[in-house]
Amino acid sequence: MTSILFNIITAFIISFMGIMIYRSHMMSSLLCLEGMMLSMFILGVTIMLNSHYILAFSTPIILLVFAACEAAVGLALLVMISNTYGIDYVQNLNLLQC
Amino acid sequence: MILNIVYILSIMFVIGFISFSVKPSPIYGGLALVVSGGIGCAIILSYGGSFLGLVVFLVYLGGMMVVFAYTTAMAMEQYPETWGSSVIIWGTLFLGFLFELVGLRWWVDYEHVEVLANCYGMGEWIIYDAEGGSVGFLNEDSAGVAAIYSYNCWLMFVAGWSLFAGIFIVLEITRGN
Amino acid sequence: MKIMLMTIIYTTLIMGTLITLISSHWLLMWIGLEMSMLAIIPILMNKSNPRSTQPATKYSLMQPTASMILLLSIILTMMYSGQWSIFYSNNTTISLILTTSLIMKLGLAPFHFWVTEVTQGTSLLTGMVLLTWQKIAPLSILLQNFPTINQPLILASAVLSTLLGGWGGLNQTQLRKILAYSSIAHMGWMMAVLFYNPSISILNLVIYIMLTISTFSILHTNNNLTTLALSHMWSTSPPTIIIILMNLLSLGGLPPLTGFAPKWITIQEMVKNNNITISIIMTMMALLSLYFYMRLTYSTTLTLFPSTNSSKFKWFFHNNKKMIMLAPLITLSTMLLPMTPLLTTLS
Repeated sequence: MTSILFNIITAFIISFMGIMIYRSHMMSSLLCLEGMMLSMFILGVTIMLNSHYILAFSTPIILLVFAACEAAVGLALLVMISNTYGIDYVQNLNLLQC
Repeated sequence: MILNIVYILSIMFVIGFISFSVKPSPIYGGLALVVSGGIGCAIILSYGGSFLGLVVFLVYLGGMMVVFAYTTAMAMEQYPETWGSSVIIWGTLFLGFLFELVGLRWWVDYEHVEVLANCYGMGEWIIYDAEGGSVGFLNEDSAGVAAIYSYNCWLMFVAGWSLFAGIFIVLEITRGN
Repeated sequence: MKIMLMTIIYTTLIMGTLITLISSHWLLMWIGLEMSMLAIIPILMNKSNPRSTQPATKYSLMQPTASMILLLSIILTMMYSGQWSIFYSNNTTISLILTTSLIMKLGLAPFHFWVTEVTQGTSLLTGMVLLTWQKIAPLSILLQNFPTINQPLILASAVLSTLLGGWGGLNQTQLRKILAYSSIAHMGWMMAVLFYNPSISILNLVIYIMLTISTFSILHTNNNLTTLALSHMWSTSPPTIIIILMNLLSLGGLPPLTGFAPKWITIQEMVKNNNITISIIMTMMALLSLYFYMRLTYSTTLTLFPSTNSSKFKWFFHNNKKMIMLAPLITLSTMLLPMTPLLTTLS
């Protein structure tokens, strides 16, 4: 059990590092966010199934709802950015630095 | 040391995560995310959560990945990067594998694990007693998810409101210009 | 249609923060944070121009990451304690993860880069919402779990953010960026005393919100975005520049004004808890932020900047913008220091 949990948390940390990489498409960053969400979903479900925590089984569904909201907002922003700049590289978002 | 199937699945899960976290072109990244989502579904299934596994595979990957693929197609360059096309990506991928191997080795030493091929966690069943005197079984995770309509109804209300507001938020974002 | 849309969005914004404030359940807290994060994004893009997608994008990449880390700490808490309610755990890993995620959400020092850029990209009123209302929900989580928070991490972050909030503002001419840096520095002062006495931290937050709202509203009535525009204001409304002088010095924490009270009490509490070194360092760092407020007031009030002849006739155009509550806010944000003895009732 514990080594599997360790692997899932490792997956979370890896996709967190993936967000922190400042290169390439913004779409890849959104995919990394989705990956963080997915690993949290699986971690939560695994723990709940192991402890037979029946009334908490609706919380992963709620997590999915909010992940869907986040993904929708992220994709809408991506569409706006690719309309404005032509391509969605994260390096292009540098107008507001000083 | 005997490894069970879930352990191998979780290692494959991590490898899928590494391969989209090194940021290749989003097409391949999305592919890797779909693969690791399917493996995650298999992990959940092997712990007995058949309904939640179905939800994560059908709703999440099915629904979300269509939208992701569509958006990726909108902002796409001519020659997409694969894992082998750049030194940075390849090196990071290699480093990720190395990290995972070292972590596993350390974890195995630390825990002295002896993972057995057990199949105990195959889900629990709830006995329900309906009004007509009929008695039946229900898988525990589907009962837990169904509790969202009764026990967690305010949570459902809040989530539904957020989805409802989410539509307007997305419209408001894309409406400009 | 626009007004209905905005009603829905603002309702979600307010409801999210309120859900976080009233809940004692980790999942609902997370949900409240997510709701207020989702609802602020269209508000950030209020005036639509090609530049306005950038702050929204930065915000919507930063905040979900922070809330995912918060979710990790929530699920780990659930794993170790077996319950979802707020539970003071002694687990170092969980407290480190929780503290890091809330530091990211608040924009404290090692993760402070998004605050200035997001504030610079939006309008003044949206910046005001971003720097005041959006800080309440993460701070309420911090206040409710202050025994769980990792003390060395939060103290280090507090000292760093007072340093960087003062240092970063030195080179700026954009008022929104200066106010964002001052927000970082004030957050640092709040975090420093959080572990010793959370009610002082609340007082700090309340006074900070009052000062920020009044400063932003004064700037909004005359639509000043740069130091240059501020220095030409003597021709349009001379009383405003005196008010701005008082307000900025109060924000910096000079003694006869309100902004001194939270700093005074914070330093006293920290010295009482035998934490003299950090309070000395933070007081020195407050001088840095005081320097750039002084520079603003210098260019606004104490000198006459060279200006073209035509810019002196701006008084001719009547200003129709009205901010309600501006007068009581200014009074509160400058003259509240004599009320400090009332604070003994707080503790």
